[in-house]
Amino acid sequence: MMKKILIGFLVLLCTFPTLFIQIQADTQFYQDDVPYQTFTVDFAGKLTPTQTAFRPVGVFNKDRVLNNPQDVSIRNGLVYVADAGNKRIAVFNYAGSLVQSIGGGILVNPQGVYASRDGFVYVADKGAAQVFKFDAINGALLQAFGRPSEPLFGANSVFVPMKIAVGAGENIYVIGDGSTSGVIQLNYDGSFLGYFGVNLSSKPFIQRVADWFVVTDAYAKTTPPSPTNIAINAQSLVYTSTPFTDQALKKLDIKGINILTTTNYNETKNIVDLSVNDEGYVFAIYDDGLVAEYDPSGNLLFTFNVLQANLEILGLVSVPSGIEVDSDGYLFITDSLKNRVVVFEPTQFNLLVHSAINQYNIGGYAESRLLFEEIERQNVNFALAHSALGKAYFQEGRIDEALEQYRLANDVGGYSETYWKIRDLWLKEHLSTVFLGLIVLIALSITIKQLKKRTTLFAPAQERWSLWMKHKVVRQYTLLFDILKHPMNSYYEIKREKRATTSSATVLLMVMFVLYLWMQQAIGYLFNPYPESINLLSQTAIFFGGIGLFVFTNYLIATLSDGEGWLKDVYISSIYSLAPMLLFIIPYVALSNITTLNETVIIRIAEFVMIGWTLLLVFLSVKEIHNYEIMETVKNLLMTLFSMLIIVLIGFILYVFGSQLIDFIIEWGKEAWNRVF
Amino acid sequence: MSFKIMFKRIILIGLFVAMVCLPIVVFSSSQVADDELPEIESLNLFDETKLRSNQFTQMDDLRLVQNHLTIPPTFVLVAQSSQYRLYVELDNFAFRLEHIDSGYIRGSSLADKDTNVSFFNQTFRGYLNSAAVIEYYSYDSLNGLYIVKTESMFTSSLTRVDYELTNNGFIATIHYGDSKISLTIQMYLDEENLHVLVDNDSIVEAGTGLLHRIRLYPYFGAVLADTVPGYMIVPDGPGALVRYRALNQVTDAYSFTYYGSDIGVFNPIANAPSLSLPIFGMVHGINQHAFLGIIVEGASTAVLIVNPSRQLMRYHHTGPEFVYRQLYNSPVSRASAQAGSGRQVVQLEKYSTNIHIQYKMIDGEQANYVGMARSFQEYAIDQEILSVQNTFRTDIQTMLELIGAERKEGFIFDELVPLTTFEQAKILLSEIEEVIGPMTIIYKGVFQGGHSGANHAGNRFASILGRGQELLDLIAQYSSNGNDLALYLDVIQKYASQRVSTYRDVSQKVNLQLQLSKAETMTRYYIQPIAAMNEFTKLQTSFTKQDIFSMALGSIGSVLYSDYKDGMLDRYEVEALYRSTMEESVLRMYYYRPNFYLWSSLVAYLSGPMSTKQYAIYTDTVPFLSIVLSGTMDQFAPYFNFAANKEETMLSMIDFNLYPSYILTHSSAYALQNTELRRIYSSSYSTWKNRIQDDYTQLNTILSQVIDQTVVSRTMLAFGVVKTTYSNQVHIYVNYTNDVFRDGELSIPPRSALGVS
Repeated sequence: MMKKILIGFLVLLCTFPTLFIQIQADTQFYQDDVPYQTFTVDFAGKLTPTQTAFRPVGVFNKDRVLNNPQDVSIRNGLVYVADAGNKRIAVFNYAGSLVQSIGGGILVNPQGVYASRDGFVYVADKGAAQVFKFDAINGALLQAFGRPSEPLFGANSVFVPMKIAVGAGENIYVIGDGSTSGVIQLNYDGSFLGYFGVNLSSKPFIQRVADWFVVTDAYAKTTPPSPTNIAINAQSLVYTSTPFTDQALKKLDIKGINILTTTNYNETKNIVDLSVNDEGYVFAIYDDGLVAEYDPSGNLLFTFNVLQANLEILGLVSVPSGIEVDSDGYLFITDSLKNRVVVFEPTQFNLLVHSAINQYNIGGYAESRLLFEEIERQNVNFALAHSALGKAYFQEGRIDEALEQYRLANDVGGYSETYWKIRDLWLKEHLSTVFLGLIVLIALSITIKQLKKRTTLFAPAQERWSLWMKHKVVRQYTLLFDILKHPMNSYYEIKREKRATTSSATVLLMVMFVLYLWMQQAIGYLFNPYPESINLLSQTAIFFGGIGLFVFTNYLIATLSDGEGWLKDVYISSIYSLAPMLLFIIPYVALSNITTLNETVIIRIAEFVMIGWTLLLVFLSVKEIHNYEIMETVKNLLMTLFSMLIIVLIGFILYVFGSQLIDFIIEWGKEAWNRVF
Repeated sequence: MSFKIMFKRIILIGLFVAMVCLPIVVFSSSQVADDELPEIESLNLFDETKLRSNQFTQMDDLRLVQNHLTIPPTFVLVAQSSQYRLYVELDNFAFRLEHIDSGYIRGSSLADKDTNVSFFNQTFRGYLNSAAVIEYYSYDSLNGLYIVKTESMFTSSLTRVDYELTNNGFIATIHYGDSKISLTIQMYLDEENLHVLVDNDSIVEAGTGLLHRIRLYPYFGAVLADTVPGYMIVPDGPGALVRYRALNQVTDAYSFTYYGSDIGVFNPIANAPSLSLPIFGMVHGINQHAFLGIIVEGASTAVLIVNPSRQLMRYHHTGPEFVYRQLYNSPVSRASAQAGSGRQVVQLEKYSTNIHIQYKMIDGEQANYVGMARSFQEYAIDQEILSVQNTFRTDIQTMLELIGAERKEGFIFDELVPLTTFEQAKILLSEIEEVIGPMTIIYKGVFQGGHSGANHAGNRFASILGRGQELLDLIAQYSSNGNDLALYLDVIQKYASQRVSTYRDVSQKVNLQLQLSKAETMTRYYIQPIAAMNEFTKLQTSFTKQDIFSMALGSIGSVLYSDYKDGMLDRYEVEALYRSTMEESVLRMYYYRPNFYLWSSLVAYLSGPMSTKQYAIYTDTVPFLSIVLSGTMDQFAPYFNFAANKEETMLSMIDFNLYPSYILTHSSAYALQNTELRRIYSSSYSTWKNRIQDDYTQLNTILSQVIDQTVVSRTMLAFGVVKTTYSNQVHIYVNYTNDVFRDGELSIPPRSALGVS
């Protein structure tokens, strides 16, 4: 038997190797006191390794009396576990000994348990379709509520209680299985108060299209996703989980409106349970074993994965079913397969982070600064610390340091605000100088103009200038400016007078490429906070491939639809059509570097003008070069776009089939080799 | 009136008594039953769960053990030493070993071979009574699959044994009837050591059966549930104990691979334990009887079986199995190669492993894990693998790992980020030298290309860090007065950016796929062992020419793999290759968490483990490894930079006698974003300077008292309170609990340590 297990184990290793692959980096010995790596959020919003936040303390229920535990609730040093398999609520003391068993003979399938501040134990029983209220001290059944009879509950609504939480004034919140109308809110006597925190239904694009054509809204009806779990904090604010939505985690105000505004992490994952402590930190566990801690504002603080299906290791669970945090910050996680409750203790680092955030949240920026500096010392990638330090420095008037910290945190809002302040200070200080400079400049230009008019002082220079401007090569490039002023004439000159050449166009293309690359690096930080590391090869391919494809396709279509332009003409005119971009990229980038988020609209207008102007020129170039009417031009351009799409598609198909074919030949060869030899 | 007053008083007294008693009653009822912890005033309940988990050492059950075996008349006396008598059952070679003084009997079987043993069916009885049980692959042509079959000496009536008795044991050749495999076992008694050997040349496969593995005396020392107090030892990390528990307390049996799993055959698995010592062992009655099994030869292809008492196999047992062949998947397509699936094939060529197990018997006071560790240390000193350390230093050593330059993917070209230039290193070291004791310095990423881009063959120093001469001067400056400066290199695993030729240099797996792993940002290749050792030899020559005499080698210590490019080089051969190359080396070598076979060339132990993989089967974590190494070399803890619980980590370091180590850079670790070293998130010297000094002061106060000393005993005074005694009679107390520990005169504050001579 043992051998079978061992063989099974080995076979498993052979069959699912990818599941177990771990990183073999130089850093493998950095942290090995716990069987998982903890992550926090770095400056780019990505996960980055950090100190362990929770360390396994041990298996809590040593007596092994649980069977399929589904939920856990803690109150006054007692741990209440919804022991679904044994049809009861098992109550443990902190030493892990079973001290009481509630609801034996009454409960059928307890899925949710909540021990209230008032000394009652509420149980959501899926099997009995009832909510039970017990006395926490003697375990006596006090009340049982079935399906609410109020018409408001809905004639077709079912009542299958799964999870439960109770707020001040004995407001009972019940999560029902498939309760799409929201959280069921009951009064202390079980009367139905209404639905709470309803989720909005979202319509896929297809359905929205269908709405246009369908007269009745029969097809377009969608049901909102139902919340799956609930937690409640000391102020009786309710937190709900709704997996696979963009508001997977919600903190509801008394009207049932979500007040968590920060980015929701892990929205694509299936949240199993959540818990909130008195300070407002939210702890969630997901079905793939991920444990996440969010700060009171909803920022992701720590995340680590405790799932391990095959190996029995302290601190790992097989099927997580519930999570609860106690007043000292210890985490209790129930494992419904291995029938146990695993306890984790917060580490010193975790406590440090908590105290810093708590100080910060009550407005003690100066006090929190020291703590955040210590966090930053221990982990330079801890973005939240940088962000908070930015704010603290800003408050203390240490503007430059604040700017640096915001930059390190990639906190665009804070950076913008600080930068605005810096610019403001600069302007205040230098305003007079700036104005003086402007006046001098204006005076200078007026003087020069007057001099030009009244004297012949500049005549020789002017003559040389106009000669220079008439030079053939210079005229090739000044065409760029002419195109902006007189596009029709310029395209005529390209086509008939050969004012631009292939080589001048190629030079401009190269300049454009360099500018294009430069722009991606040099654009203002606020408008490109996550500069991707650029791959030169792929950028080259995209840039030249895109332009080349357009030129070539446009020429092909034109030859089929009576266009007059040659390939050379199309090439030159297309590139000259990029004139607005070529000329305005530099000022645009410069502008983006001195504007703050408040002036975003300026940047957006600049972009709009630049791109719109270019597109207009492309349109005109096609029209002039091929000598088309307006409608013909539109037709030609649409066909060009379509053909480009087809060419890309065919290229892709060829690539896929090609590599499949090569794979096939290799595999065939290997198979033959294996079978024959 | 007096009656009224009396009445009032009675009521008041009653109330008072009730008030005093009630909390006591409530408190005591909420406590667990056992009250063996009188010294501790009040125990935090979480301490209780935590300190009783397998992350800490538990209290010993010192019950006396009774003889649970007899010597049946079928056993004959074949050898005798001053302490022990060896009896053998001559047709199946089960044995009994009798300790003459105490009369305690150890045995490989539980009764004579004809006796029914409860809980064992006939097949298992065959295994129980056999000297050697083999597993072999048999091809099932109907399904086109290989099946593993097990054969004991009792499986086939055709099995035949030829033997001869020697003056201190026997030599027996077993010819298995079913598989037609034969092998020769030699056993001899040498004082307190029982040796069992199987020579590779004696293994003959005469039929179609292909040998998979061999188990020798698999049930030696087996213990039924918790009938005997004691434990098994697993050399996972620092050392783990599996105390004998009642039936079905844990139900998973494990087979752990010595020296980590072979990536030449298997893909690496997460949370696999790293057994760096070739040992196993069992204790029967703590401080009474124990044995330590040392795998003198063959550990590199062995797995350790750890079996708890559970429904089908009610005996705790442990011991090695020696692997000779593996089943693997030969990929039939690119997709299957990536997924690791494919056609099942058995390795044709057998591994070349010789087996030599030495069972060291320990009876008396030393029969515990400390005694085992001391006994293993003695063995290593006898074999000239370890040597006694006599530094006569007064202060503890500190390990500083500096990072020079690291490669970062750039816009067009890769850029080299300087983190600590030679000049900066010089200033940094001279500053820190003032405030701490001697330093072991490891300088990483000093070669052109940076840490992950260095092409070692070139052996040029990164010009961005300064002139090479500056570094050489620095090395000269820090190679005396107890200091040492080693340069870091890795010849075993190389990054894709290190100009690795996948055709020439990279090892292949048994299915001829390249051996590689995913690192932080790129692929990392496993280099062919022979090529790697050639490169090392070349580097050594160029190092010595430049008067560099210390080197830290990454990976080699902890990674052992077989290579199938151009034929087979199995782990047994690779181990021998590594050992001999390193023993011949003239350099002072440092390795990270090295396996035992490299210890002979080791100067100091880096990144000493402080925790096991915490399998549920373990009951304790013990500093077995540190006790073995104590008094022979410096041992450093993992980098302190990344510890989440500073206090507790510090206590563990004192408990395990580990010296601190730090990873340092002059620049902020922020510069390491998006590089291979991105996991280093805190290293800036300016922010760590004061911490290093503080930590040093705290650790040095206690650990300086036991420099060069070996551990004599380690006992738990209470849950979470440890007393370790060193050979100079200094006692080091560590109190992990949140309460004051008092024992007579002695008082240890919570979460603190104390050294008393």
